[in-house]
Amino acid sequence: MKDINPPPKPSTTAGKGKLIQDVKAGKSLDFDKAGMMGFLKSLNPLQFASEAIAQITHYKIQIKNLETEQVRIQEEAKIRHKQIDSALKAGLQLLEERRRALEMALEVVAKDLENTHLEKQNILECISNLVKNISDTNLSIEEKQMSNTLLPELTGLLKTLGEQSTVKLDLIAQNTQKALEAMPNSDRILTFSED
Amino acid sequence: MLPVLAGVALVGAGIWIYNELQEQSAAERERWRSKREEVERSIEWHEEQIENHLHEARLSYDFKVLIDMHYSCVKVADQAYSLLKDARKSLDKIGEAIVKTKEQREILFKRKKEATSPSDKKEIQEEITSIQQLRSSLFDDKDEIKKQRDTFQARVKDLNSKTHTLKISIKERTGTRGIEWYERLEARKASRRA
Repeated sequence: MKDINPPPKPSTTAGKGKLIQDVKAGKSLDFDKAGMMGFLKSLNPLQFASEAIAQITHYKIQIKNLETEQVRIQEEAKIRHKQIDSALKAGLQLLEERRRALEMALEVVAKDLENTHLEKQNILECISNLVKNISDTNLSIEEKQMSNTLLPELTGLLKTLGEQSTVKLDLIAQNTQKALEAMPNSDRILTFSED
Repeated sequence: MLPVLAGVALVGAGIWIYNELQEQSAAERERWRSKREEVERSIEWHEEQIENHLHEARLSYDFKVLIDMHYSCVKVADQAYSLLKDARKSLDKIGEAIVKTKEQREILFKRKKEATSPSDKKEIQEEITSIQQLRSSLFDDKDEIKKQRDTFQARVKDLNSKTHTLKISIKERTGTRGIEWYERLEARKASRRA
């Protein structure tokens, strides 16, 4: 049998992301006037009056329902806004903590590399002095040989410090990369469940 | 006569009630329809407001994430650049030593040729041998430090490219504040260059 009071079409916003639940909009109330029975019913004035009163009452109730829904929508929207603010606040706080941790780790390595840099500076200065000795005619052969032995020791030290620095740089680059990859993206932090 | 009049009055009253009820019913139906439309518009408006709020919040969050990434990348790149400078200085110094040893070796070869006494020749040869050993060792270290320099150079290039990508992402993906941040950064760079 054909339903003459079909449910209303869902509201246009449904399926957009469901930020706000669908409205229970109700449906129109119509009486079956078709056919012989409908004709006979329409001849009864009391039948008409009862149907009209039923319709008026029905729409009044529906309007009340819609007013309630309107209040619900407003409250739901307020909750959504608060949820967004709270999620953002929590997300930013998490980022701040991670940033501080990362900054501290970077500072430690920076300090370490700065010390290595100073060490290298001193070594380079020593190398400069030893290079001068190569052509210094006032030095004895023994002194020159000593200088020539010391020079590769120092360049070797430079090489070792460079290797250590490479390892430290790789480590900090990897740790930074890992820390950055671990940062949740905004879609994960700021999202609403479909359920 | 009276019953007829009463009948007419009754029918009139019936018609009046009929019309009244019909009008009221139509009016209530219309009120319901317009209320429903109003509620639907209200949903759409709130949805839009929430979407905008969410979008803004995501932009704020992404801005912070990208800024932090950029900061870290710059810091690591600075370290890599500092190491690259050290490696270059080391190479220069070793290069200097290699040139100096070459010059000294030439001088010693000349002196050896000119020397007449075997003891002088022996002493000069000892010095030449010492210099040859030194040169060989310097070349080995130079090769190693060159490799290190190339590594640092590649790291600096890679980190600079990442920093640049992040900078552009901040400008293009985080709205007004990203554009403002980018402009401030470029202005700072320009003032440093000036």
